[in-house]
Formats: sequence, structure tokens, C-alpha cells
Amino acid sequence: MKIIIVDDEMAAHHTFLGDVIGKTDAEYRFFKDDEKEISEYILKNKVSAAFLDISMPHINGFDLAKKLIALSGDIRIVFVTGLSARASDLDPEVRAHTVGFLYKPYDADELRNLLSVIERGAPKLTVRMFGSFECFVGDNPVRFSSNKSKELFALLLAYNGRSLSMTDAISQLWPNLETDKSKILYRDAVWRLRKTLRQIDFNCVGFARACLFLEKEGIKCDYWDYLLGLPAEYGGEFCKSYDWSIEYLPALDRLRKE
Amino acid sequence: MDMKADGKQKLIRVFSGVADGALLLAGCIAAIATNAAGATYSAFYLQSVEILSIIEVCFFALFVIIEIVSAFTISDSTWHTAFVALALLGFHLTGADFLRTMFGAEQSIFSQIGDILHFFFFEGAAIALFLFWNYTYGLGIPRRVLFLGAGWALIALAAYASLYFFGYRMIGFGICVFGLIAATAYLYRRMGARQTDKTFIASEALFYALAGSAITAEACVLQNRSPIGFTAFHAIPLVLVFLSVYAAFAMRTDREALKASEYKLQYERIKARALKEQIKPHFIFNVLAAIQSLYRNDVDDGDRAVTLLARHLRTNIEASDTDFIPFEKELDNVQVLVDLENMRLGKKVNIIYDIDCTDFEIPVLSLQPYIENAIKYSRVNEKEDGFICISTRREEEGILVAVTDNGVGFDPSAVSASSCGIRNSSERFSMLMGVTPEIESEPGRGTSVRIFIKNSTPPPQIPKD
Repeated sequence: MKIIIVDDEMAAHHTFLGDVIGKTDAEYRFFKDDEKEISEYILKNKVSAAFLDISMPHINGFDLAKKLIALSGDIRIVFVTGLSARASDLDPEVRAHTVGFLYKPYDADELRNLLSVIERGAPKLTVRMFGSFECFVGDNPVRFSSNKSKELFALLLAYNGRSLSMTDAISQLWPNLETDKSKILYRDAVWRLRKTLRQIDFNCVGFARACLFLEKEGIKCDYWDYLLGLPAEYGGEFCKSYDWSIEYLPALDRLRKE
Repeated sequence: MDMKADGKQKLIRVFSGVADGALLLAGCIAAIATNAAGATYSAFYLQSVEILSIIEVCFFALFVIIEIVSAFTISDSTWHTAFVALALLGFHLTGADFLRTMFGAEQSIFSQIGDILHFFFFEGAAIALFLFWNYTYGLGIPRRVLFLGAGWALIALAAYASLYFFGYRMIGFGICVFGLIAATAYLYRRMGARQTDKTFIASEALFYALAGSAITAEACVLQNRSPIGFTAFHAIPLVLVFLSVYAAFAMRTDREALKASEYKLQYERIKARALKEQIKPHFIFNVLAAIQSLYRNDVDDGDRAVTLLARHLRTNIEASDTDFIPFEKELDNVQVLVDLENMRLGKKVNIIYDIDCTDFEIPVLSLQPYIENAIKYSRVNEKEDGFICISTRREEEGILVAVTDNGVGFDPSAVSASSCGIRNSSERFSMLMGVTPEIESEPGRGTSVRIFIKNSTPPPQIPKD
């Protein structure tokens, strides 16, 4: 995968972007805002994505994007900007090629997410439930904004496509709290889960009143694979440290014996 | 203060009632006085009646043009008054004096059809006025009542027209007058008390002048009085009232324009102050210092902190371009602020999001000060189960946004006076949305801020240049 990065201020980029992108298997190259040089490179190489600064002295990022799209029909664009920009500012042709916006100073997680989208298309979620619960987009672990929202997501995955009602969730996650308090904490966890999923742009959960649904499409989960008889490494631990997970162990152990 | 306002209201009500009565009689007196001389008219009198009725037609035509033009250029709302003016123009064009001026003949078929049309336009003008009140004062008269009124008017018209040639048209007219009295009574009940708005008083006067002159006209015909000069003279109060409507309107818009520009200036000042206060130099430098030491321990932590600070600065800088922000976005900004504070203070503040709905907007940077305040004064991060809870609830009449904490609490009067951020946010809530945040705090029990955004809150309006 080849990536070009265009910015008039080179020093600002080299170390950080190089550091993050260098850790993936992408090949990257920096350009100043010299349209001719960039065009030549694009014609000679198969470039997957271009990171373009929006405001540069010789050409602005939007115009450059249009020209690059004309040269290479399947190039993806990421706009890099210090201030703010919105997809609605773009014209439709450019918008169709735009993967996202990257704000300065850079957020390494965001950059990694963008790279994984460029490489794999729509983000896929990999879930590890055996051992301790963890989710990944590409190789990057998903950072949940609270432990309980992470646990709620684990429970929903353990439900394996069945909808999870608020009552069920509360009785498993906050078994010893009074109803009012636990309801508030449940709503807090739901809100945070929603935020986290939106951040990684993977909206697989349907949020209804007092009920959650899971859209299984695009999720690879070791537990689900194991239930289907596909290869998965079950070592006797399932969602370690979550109290409710104990109930799942007997069935899993039985499956292992078979 | 309230007593004074009450007294004034009462006075205006009494005056407006007296004025209504006077106008009701004005047409009558003018008409009867002009007819008292008997059946013979001087040439001068006849001539002046002709000139007067032509001038009046011109006036009404002018009113129609003004209203229609302003309906297209200023506001849709003047369609209602355009219909009033149009009906009055028709009312006058079909009046006996104008027909005589045009056709000369007194007993022509024109004047008989003219009488019926005259009655039709009289009803039309009255209905248009009622609709105008309903619209302007948002009375929300149910549809069935409006249809009932229109049906009643049609019955009255049918009775008037069918009995006209038998000499019993007074019956039709009586039905109509009864309807008008009922409609007026209903309207006043609907309004609770009489509005003291100038345009209402003026248009009300128009209604009574119209009704008064029409009643007198019919009464005179019943007494076989010669109607020459009658319609021409009784139109004078109508013209005067229309002119006074314009005067009242002009005065009001003038004052409102002045108020709007003052309002805008004041708002800009408050907002500029909010922006300046939000980007607090000492806060920024403290965060930078924290970032500096984070980098010594862990580069990734440092990166994350830089991203947070950038986000915080970006939202605050962007805020200058906008007045309102979707609630969810403000929540994101709050989370960034909390993350920064957590990083800086080392001890975590526990925020609980109890969010029921987010499909509404609030003034930009208006929630942050309350959170900042809670972090600063509540000392929730020193408590084992300390929290700050942000909640939204959809209720029947609006949305309740609350920020509560279980910290140490404080004396609200002491802090809200000293915290510019809170005062500023509260000022913008009240200017932009007509909402007053209520702060309750009890030492030892915690603090709660409740912001109730009513459904009927007028859409955000900041006058544009």
C-alpha cells in the first residue's frame, strides 16, 4: 500500500506521521505542494491514498484532490487540517473519495483507524472473548471510555445476536445496586458505548428504549467461531474478570470435551 | 410593580371599551346628522359627496396595494390585513354613494345588487378581521369554530339576499349582527383579558366602526331615510382607523428595530466575553506543563494529551462562528474538558451520562461552565463515590437538562456572583432561549443545575446584519 502526504510544512510531518505509518506495512512519501511532481508520481505508482493539507500556498487541498481523482480513479483522500472542516464543505465527487479528516496536532489512534480503513475498506471488528475481553479494529485495540461500557459490550456479544434488555443487563452488571442507581449507570454505559462505537465508525449496536440489539455483520468473534465448530483457542477462560461469565463456562467446557 | 401594571391594564381596558362604544356610534351620528336635513340636498352637498366617495375608494385601493406589496416583500402575515383592506374596498365600491357617483341612477338594478354585494363585503371584512386576530395573537381558534362562523355568515347572506326584494332584509342583517356579537364575545373569552397591544386596539376600532356604520345604514333604510351621503360619511372612521393602524405599526417596528440592534450589540458583547473567558491562559499553561511531564513518562500519553488540548482549543475557537451547538456536540466538548482536567489533576472526576435525548441545541459553550464549576468547587474527586451527573429528560412540555453532583456544595449566591462563566452562560440562555438555569446547592449535599428548555421556546433568533 502506497501513501503520499502533501504539505508545505514538511518538518511538521516527518517524525510523527513517519513514526505511526512506519509501523504499518504502508509505504509513504512526502511531497511539497508541487502539483507536477505529485502528478508524475501518481501516474507511475499505484497510490492508495493521499493525505492532503487543506491550506497550502500553491494549491489548496480541495483542488488538488480533484486533480488527483482525475488522474487515479480509485485514490482515497484524507484531508489534513489545523482548523476544522466538514464533509459538507466538499463537492460530491471529492466527498465520495474522502475517507476522513485528520486534525493537527495528530491523534495517533485516529490516524491508525484511517489507515486501517484505507487498507481494508469498511472497518472490521475483531473480538477476543477467550481470556480477557478485548476488541480490535485492524491491529488497534479499541479504547472504551469506561470499564462498564466495555463489559456491557462483552455481554451483548455473549448474547450472540439475541437482544439484551435493560433488566437483564442491570441484573448481570450491577447485581447489588438499587434500581434507580443502576438504571442511571446502565444509561451511562450505553451512552459511552455508543460514543466509542461512533468513534471507531463501527455502528453495530441498535439502541432502543430499554433494549440493545447487535448487528453481527463485520464482526469476527472467537467465541462465536467456537460455537460453530470453527477453530478458536479456548483455554478454559471466558471474559475473565466479568462475574457473569462464569455461567458460560460449563457449556464451553462441555463443548471442548466433545 | 404588579399592582401598577394591573392598574394600567385596567385603565387601558376601560378606555378601549369606551372607544369601541364611541366608534360604534360615530358612523350612526355622522349618518343621521347628514340626513337630518330631509330629502332635499344642495348641489354643493351632492358634489362633495361624490368627490368624497371617490377619494375614499382611492384610499382603500391604496391600502390594498400597500398590504399586498408588503405581503410579498415584508411578511406573509400582512395577507390577513390585505384581505381586510380588499373587503373594505369592495364594501365601499358597492356602497350607494359610489354607485350613484358612477351610474347616476338611484333605483337601477345595480344599486339593488350593489346592496347585496355591500352586505357580502361587510361580512367579508369582519371575517378577515377575526382571522387576523386569530393569526396575530395566536388564539388557536379550533377549525370547527371557524367553519361554524363561516357557515353562519353564509346563512345570514342567503337570508339577506333572498328576503331583500320582499322588504325583510333586516332579518338577514339581524342574523349577521347576532353572529358578530357572539363572535366578539367568544374572542374576548379566548384572549382571557383584552390585549393592550396597539395594533389590536386599532384593528378592534376598525371592527366597531365598520359594524356601527353598517347597523346605522340598515336602520336608516328601515326608516325610509334617503341614503345620499351616507356611505361616503361613514367610511371616514374606517379610513382614519386604518391610518392609525399604520401609525401604531410604524411606531412599534421603529422601537423594535432599535431594541433589536441594542439586543444584538449586548449579545455580541456577552458572547465575546464568554469566548475570552473560556480560553483561560493559566489553564492552557497548566495543561502544557502537565503534557511536558507526561512525555517524560510515556510518549503515547503525551500524544493523547496534546490531541485533547487541540480539541479543546479548536471547539473554543470555532465557537466564535456560531451561536448554537447541537447538545451532543457540547457533551463531546465537556468530555474533552473533563479528560483534560483529569489528566491535570491526577485524580479522576467521575462523570455519569444519563442521557435520554440529544435532539436539541443549546448556546455554544453554555454547559461547560457548570461542569468546570462542579469540578472546581464540589471536590467530587476527593470523595469515594463522588460523581457529576449530566442528564437530559424529555418531558411533556420540554426538555430538562440537569447537572448534579454529590460534592460538598456551596452557597449558590456567593459562587454564582463570582463565577463569570456561569453568569455569562446563564445570560446567553435567557437571551437566546428565554430559559433561566436554576442553581440549587446545599453545603454538604451537593449542587444541582436545572435548565428547562420548553417546547414552545421560540426558534433561536439573533438579528443578522
